Amino acid sequence: MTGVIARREFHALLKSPFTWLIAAILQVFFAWYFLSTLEQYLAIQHQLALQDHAPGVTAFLAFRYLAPICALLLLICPLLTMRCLADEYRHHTFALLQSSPVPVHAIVLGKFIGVMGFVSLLLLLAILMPLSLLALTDVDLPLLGLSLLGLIITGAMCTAAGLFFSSLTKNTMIAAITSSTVLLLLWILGKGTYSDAGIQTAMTSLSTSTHLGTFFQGLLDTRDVLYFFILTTLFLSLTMIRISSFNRNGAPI
Amino acid sequence: MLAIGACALYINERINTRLDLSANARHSLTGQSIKAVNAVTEPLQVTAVMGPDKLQREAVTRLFDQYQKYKPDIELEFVNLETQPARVRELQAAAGGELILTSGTREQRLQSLSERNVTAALTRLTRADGNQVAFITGHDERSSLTQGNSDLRELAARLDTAGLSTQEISLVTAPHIPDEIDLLVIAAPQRRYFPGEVASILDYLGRGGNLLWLLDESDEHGLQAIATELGISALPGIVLDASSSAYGTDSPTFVIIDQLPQHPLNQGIANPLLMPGSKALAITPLAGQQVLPLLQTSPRSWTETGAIAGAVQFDEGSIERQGPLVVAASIERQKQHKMQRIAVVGDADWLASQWIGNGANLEYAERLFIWLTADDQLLAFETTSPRDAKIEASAKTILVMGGGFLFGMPLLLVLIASALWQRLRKG
Repeated sequence: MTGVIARREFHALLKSPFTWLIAAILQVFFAWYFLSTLEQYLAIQHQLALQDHAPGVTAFLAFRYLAPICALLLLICPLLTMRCLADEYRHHTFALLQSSPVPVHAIVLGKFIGVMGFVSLLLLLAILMPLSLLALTDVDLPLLGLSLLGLIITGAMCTAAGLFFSSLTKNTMIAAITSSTVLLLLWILGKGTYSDAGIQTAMTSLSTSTHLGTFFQGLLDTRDVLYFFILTTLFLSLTMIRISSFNRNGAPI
Repeated sequence: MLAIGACALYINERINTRLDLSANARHSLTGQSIKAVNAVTEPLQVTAVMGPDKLQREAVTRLFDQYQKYKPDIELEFVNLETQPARVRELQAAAGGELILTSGTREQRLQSLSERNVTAALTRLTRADGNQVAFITGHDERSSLTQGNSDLRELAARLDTAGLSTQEISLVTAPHIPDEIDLLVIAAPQRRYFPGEVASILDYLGRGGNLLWLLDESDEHGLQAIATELGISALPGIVLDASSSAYGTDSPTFVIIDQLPQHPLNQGIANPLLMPGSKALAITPLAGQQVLPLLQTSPRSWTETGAIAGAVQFDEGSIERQGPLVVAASIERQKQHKMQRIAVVGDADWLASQWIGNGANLEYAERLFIWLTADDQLLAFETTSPRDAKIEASAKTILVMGGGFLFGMPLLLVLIASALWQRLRKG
């Protein structure tokens, strides 16, 4: 059942010209950003080579080009998920899903996987360009793979958060804005300076930005992988709880 | 649900395994570092005297975390440069902050943070005691014992923490320089050496002993025989440098050296060196020895032979020489089946207590002495260079790639979007 909903959601996104337009705009952005970062590298590659533990072109691109894309996901994923549940409420199609014998977790997971499929396609666009350097040099594939994992795992967290906020309201714009705001807050939490050391540590470990660095440096850190796993699971579970509460009360807002 | 999430995050923070998957293991210690940290047998105390900047402190923690993997009893303490002035004074830390590594009775201080420097400091912490450095006395040389502005007491104290013990010897009372001396220092004599003393030094050199010869503004030292033996002599005049005045130095004779030539000794020196009143060296190539420049002045420097007052400039056509000038050189040669190391420096003031705290002087001095006592392990530090470091792309390739990514692909996506739009309108 999850698969059916996922496929429906994925196809709905693929059939909408709006999503392709987003992809086109993103591609322009990715390409421009990629080319300017590559140019920077070409300009300073000889100086870089003199450093201890010198970064290669993959490491340079991963940190300068791929890592900042994560911040973009905070805005894009909520845009892609905003209609997932909010639209169903508005068009009163949610009642159909509700009355069908589809379990709640299948609805939520299905929608999540559907959107994630599309997000992964977008991220493939971004990773394709560093990969094209294979024609020119010996690209550090494990590092590139880890960077892709970092991007996908951030995308998953943002999608799950977007889905949760979409489940709260009928208004798609409110869903998108609240989820982006919450994600942004979560992002900058660790950047502040707090007087209390305990609060500092708590905020740092709660923040998204502090957990991202490792992926783009080619480090696989269980703590960082699990952080995203926990948050994704948390948002998905919250969405499921929210929807089951309708089932009992029968009154979506 | 939120509580469960918070608990999960909390537990997650405690357990942590990290794998370095990058191709050249960029984020892991090199074999050299692991060897160095494993050699430290006693607990290691690291005191980081620095400002409150979070990013800088994180960098320190991250680096020592890596060493901690191999040596768990490393204790890292931060001392705030701004809010703990008493503690900073007590530690006698440098004004800009520094890292103090203490193990047992040994201590090492670092002003710049990098794996290369920390590993070199660890190696210095653990090197075997007993390398003997002898300073010749009797000709008004700079003394390693006297606490004077132009003396070398500070330097001797620093060498002691690195495991080099210093002593003074007189060639008049004991003409034979013993074999146990690992390094002989001639520190800017002001009076002439007797021929017998020069013969002692030549005999020592003939046995393969290492030598550091510090020159000074006065030429009168009677050491011409040694200069001939080494193929290095001082050029007349004092080095002046037009580009050093950009640093706002007090005197025109202060030369700032910030471009170090390629030399195993020079790697990883981040700050410039200050040389007050230096001679330039003339090098005559001799068979059987390798001479390399250690320190070089900028192209805007020259040897001034006239009086240094008012507007001075390079006089073309005179005996003055234009830069870049070599102010320090190293010699390596095979003598008596061992590698002999000699360094000649055109200045002694840079090592004097008054100046040694400037720039990288102290750090460089320590390295120079260690190199001269032939301890190469300290300077060897190699990291793997990445496989994808070099990209050779023609302008055409870049253009095709750039055009394809920047225009081709977006165009294709827009075409798909418009096709779907058409179909939606019709359907």
